[in-house]
Amino acid sequence: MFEHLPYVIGQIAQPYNIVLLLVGNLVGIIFGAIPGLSGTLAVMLFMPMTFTMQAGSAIIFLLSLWIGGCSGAFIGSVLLGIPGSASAVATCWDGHPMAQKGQSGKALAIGMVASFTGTFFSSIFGALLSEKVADIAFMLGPWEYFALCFIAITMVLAISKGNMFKGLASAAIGIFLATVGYSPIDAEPRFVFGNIHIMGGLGMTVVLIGIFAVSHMIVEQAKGFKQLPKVDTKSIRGFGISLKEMKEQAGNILRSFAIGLGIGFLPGMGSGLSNLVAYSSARNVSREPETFGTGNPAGIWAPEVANNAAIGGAMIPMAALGIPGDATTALLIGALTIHGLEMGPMVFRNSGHIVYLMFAVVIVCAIVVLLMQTVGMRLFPHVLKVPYHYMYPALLVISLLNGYIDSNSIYKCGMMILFAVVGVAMSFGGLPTSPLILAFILEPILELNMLKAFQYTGTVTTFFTRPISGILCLLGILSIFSPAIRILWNRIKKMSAKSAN
Amino acid sequence: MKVKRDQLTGAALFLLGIVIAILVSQFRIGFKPGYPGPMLFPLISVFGFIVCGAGIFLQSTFGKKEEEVFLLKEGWLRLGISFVILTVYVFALSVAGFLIATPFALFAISTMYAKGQTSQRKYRIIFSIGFTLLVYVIYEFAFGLRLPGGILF
Repeated sequence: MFEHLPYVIGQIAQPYNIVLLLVGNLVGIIFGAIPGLSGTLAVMLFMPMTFTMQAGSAIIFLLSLWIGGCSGAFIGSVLLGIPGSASAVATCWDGHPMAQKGQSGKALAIGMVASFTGTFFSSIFGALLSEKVADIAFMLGPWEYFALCFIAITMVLAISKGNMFKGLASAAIGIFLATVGYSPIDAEPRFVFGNIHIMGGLGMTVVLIGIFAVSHMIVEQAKGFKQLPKVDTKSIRGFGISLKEMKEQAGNILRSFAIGLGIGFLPGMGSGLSNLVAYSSARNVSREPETFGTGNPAGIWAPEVANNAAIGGAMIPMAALGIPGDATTALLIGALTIHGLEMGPMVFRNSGHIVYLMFAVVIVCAIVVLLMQTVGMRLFPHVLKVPYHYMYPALLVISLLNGYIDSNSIYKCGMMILFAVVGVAMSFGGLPTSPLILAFILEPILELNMLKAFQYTGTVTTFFTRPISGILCLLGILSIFSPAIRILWNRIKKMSAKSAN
Repeated sequence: MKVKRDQLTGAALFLLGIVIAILVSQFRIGFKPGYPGPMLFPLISVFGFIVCGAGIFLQSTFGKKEEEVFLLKEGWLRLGISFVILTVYVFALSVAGFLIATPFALFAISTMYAKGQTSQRKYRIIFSIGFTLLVYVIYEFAFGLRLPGGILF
């Protein structure tokens, strides 16, 4: 690990990369803070800009955007009561009431320190653990890889809010879009219709930016921009929290950290889930659970530590297995592939320096973001006032340009508009987005490993007879049927309660 | 009876599944139990579309859940105009190039999006030209990326 230190320091110390890191963090914080935007969107939008960069610079820029976005999400939650992204939903519940009580400064300071704690320590854990996980991964064959990708998609489906059918439909769209182009191994043209522009596939940039970024902005605009609530800037004074207050939260921080790291490590899960689980566990163990939701500081510490700890957790399967921990790591895997870096166990042998650069960048970003937020705390309310009628047109133009940069072809800009129509249709139908992103990015790995497995054994039973793949496949199938199982279980419980009465 | 949004979504997914199933049946390499080949994953998506489409449709038909309105008539109009502007912009990019087409597109979109907000025309003009130049400088010089040049210039 330490043999890569000179390369890592050399990369981070380059003036060009320092600028990228600072700009990336700043843009990430802004994207994270503003409701409607997110760190994931920032990574998606700026990814094509990195195509001409060296791998090191590209990694630094993309990770800076991600970390800034994850960390900045609490700002909207605290000041407006509107989460900047799904990872900061639980932060609203106590963060905003604290701000309403005139404690905006304290709530923001807790968010900043908690975000730093989660990101910084989880990435150290990630750096220490990922190579060990990669060593274990050498024992895995295509069956296990197939099963890992499978479970990554199905677990996202299991936590799809509301309607399981909609989650599955979104994943089906992702799988379908990913199959367009020549198939792996057999080179069968699928849904190409002789069009040379899509023979190599639809392209991640065009599909994801079209469906999520462009359509999101158009729909938001069509719904009409809502007037954001006024922010109390007078109560933002000093740093807001003392060391004693932090010590009082030590147990809460440790527990939330473990939850975030664990959930982040699970394929397909991420900060969107970890903040909710950490919040509810903090409330459950609290001696005064009735104060949660009224401005209890523990209700900010828990979700913010957990959602940022998920970063290090998600990076472990990303680096060691090539399996994304969440939607953003899925995008990062795609971006790194463009730079010729195939994540997975072999990456430690072929490009170990790149993996450790990734973890080092996250650690540095955690520090830089904390400093930026500490210095710029009073500017947060102004960030939230950026007029949408300037921001959205600018982002729409950048989105379309990304389509052009992806292939040097205006054709892809047109395709992006088409996918924006698909995105609008998905919003109309209420289909969730995460299953599509994961299915679209994981389908090629899933299909390749499945076909390889069939070439080796020629039967489907091997997926279930090999212990690890068998367990993962069964878990995946169970999570698909989990809503039905839950309904059945509740009915059985009700019936048994009735008969007992 | 008023058609629900989920009924439309379900029906559309179901129909899409059938169309894709027909396309998949035309693949040269077929499905074999010992080696599923290129058909399997498109078939999985077909299965997903048909089952989920039917599920969403039936849930909506027999469910009592009230749906929120997605967009009002005016919203649909704004949505349509946005798509028209973006399509024209893409066409203009191919003809006139980035530097000519972008300020006009930005001005048109920001003017439309500023409806109901306090925004002055001169600021929108400054924004449109300034942002175009900023993007040009960043993309061309900082990142070394080529932007659309158009066929006229």
